Amino acid sequence: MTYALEIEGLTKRFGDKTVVDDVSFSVQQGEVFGFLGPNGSGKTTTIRTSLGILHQDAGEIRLLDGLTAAEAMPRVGYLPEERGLLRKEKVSNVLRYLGRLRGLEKAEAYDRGLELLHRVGLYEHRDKKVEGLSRGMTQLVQFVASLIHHPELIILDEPFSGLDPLNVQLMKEMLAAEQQRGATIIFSTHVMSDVEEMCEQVALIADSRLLLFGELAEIRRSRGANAVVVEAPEHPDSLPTAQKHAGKAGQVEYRLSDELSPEAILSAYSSTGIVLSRFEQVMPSLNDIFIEEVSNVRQNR
Amino acid sequence: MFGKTDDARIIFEEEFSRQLRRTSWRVFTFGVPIIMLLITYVAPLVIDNFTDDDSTPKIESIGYVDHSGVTDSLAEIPGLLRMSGLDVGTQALADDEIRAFFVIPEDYVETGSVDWYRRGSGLAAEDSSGDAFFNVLRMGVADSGLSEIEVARILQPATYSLFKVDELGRPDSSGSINDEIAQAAPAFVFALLLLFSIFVGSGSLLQSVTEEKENRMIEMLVTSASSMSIMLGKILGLGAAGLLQIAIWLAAAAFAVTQISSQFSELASLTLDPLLMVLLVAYYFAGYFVFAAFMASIGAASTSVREASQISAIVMIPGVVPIYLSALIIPNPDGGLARVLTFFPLTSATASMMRVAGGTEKTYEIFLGLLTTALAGVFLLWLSARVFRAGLLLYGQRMGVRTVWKALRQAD
Repeated sequence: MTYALEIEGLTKRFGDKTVVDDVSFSVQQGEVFGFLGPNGSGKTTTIRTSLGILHQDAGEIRLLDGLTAAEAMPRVGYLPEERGLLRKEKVSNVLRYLGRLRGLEKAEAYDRGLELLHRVGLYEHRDKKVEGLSRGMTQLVQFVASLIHHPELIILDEPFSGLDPLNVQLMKEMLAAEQQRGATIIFSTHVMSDVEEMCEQVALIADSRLLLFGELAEIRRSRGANAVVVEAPEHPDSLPTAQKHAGKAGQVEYRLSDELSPEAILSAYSSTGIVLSRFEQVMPSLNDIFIEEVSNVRQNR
Repeated sequence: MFGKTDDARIIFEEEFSRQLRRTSWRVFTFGVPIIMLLITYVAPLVIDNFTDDDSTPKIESIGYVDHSGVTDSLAEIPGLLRMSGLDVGTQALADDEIRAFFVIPEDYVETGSVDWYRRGSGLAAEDSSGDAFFNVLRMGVADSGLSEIEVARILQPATYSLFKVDELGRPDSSGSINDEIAQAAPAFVFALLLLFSIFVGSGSLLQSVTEEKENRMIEMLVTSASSMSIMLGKILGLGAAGLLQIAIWLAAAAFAVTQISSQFSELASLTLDPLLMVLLVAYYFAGYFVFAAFMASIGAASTSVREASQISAIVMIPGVVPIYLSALIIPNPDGGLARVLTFFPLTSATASMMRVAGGTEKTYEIFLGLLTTALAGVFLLWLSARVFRAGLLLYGQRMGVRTVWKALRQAD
């Protein structure tokens, strides 16, 4: 198995404060990986340390099947959390500059920059100075800069924050195309729906420590069902309050607990003679898992 | 240690061309020669217009009344008009027929007092009429029986020839005072030019680093190239732009000097010592590296362009010190002060120029100072790359001395 990123026992301290504490996970080549965590959990520091921007205090980091950050960087695309470009420069010149630094020839970098600007609808702005662009446009330019050299590994720190839904969709389509090409994509976020939509593997970090790591579907399965959705003409009064399921009439959702099992729900319906048209156990959403895990950590602090 | 040379080359090219595209660089670079050309060509035309216009009366004459008789034996002197009385003289002044009018009283020989009448405002010391009339009086006081040569000696007692004596007592002619001034002037001017160019170049670097930190661009850069490559590329790119600026100014200055010296014979003895030219270019690189490395570190450790500019003044002041002390260094170019300043990297460039201006006999010390400065430049470059590396992610935060020290100890 080949890995795009392997992190073992990563620890990073700023003074007396441990910002990343013994974190280990790996990302296989070709997959889309979601790196989750609340604000200030250590996501950005883990990414910066992985890319050699910061030095780790302990642990091992390998990129693209065993390379150091310095060796791998020409094959890595990176969108930092701190957005910014040379404000006084033309958009096309900035892309050419960054493309050259990523190993492209001058003309190739320029042409590729224009091609990507065309793709994100900013071709008309190619001769504008960066300071003349909106914040969202600047973010798009920085995003395409991370793709300019056809990288094998793309690391994006909070890529969708501050963008309108259309641009978020455009970015997702471009990332899907990059994955089709064979690139590995790692992105950090705290928007769970983006991860559920795009990722096969996830890692959850909170308060500097890794809480979860693995295949998204497997993590949800391992948690077991946390709710039951029932569709019926009426619902027994003996059951605790059920949430009306949005969208469909006669559909309700019961939150499972120690007192309320799927068997107890089924038994309540059958004992009152109500005929069920649907009875389905629901896996926890990533949002549920995130809130539960992070809350547990904060309660145990 | 120096990272990928390709990255440094790319950063060099981009920084160089970006600097050349800056409006401020273009205005500054081409504005100075344009001003020089204006001074060279337009100023004489303006002066000519004011002085050679036939419709305007020429005001070159000096009038006087002599009640003492001291000038009675003088032959007629062009431009000197003997007048009959005070009223005539003041009226001639009012009519712009003369530019100054002097009244020599009866008791002049005993008192030395003379009345000077003039029109308009301005300092009397700036008016050459007074000096011109001094000579008239000297000639008058000198007995009319003296020969023309003897009068000339009274007016100009001596033209000095200078001889320097070395440690073994061997005299060596170093020409006249004018020759010495002519030799020293270019070194002094070059020292100012050198310092100015170094400050402009390293100031651009300070601005570049601080701006990229403010723009949040730096994180993109450090994942693309090593901090040493970034520093090297930036320093060389902006340094080359500065050097091009000097070259354009020097070419313009050389052209202006040839034009002006053809008009002013006093400047004919101006000479450009080849050693000085070599030292200028060599010291530009060495001195620039030293200041640029400091500036890059300050830029990386500061929170804004304004704050960085204020701190940078502390580094720039030592560079100016030898210029301030030129009155001590030039007359004594091999004295203790001059020698110490030659070996201190922040003062070496300008101190060496001052010593050359003063005619140092210890040329080897100038080259040793150059070597010291160059080595200090390389060391400071390495050092600044580390500070730069540590400071670049501290957005909105100032680096304390402790953080800087930690950065210096941490491996890249």
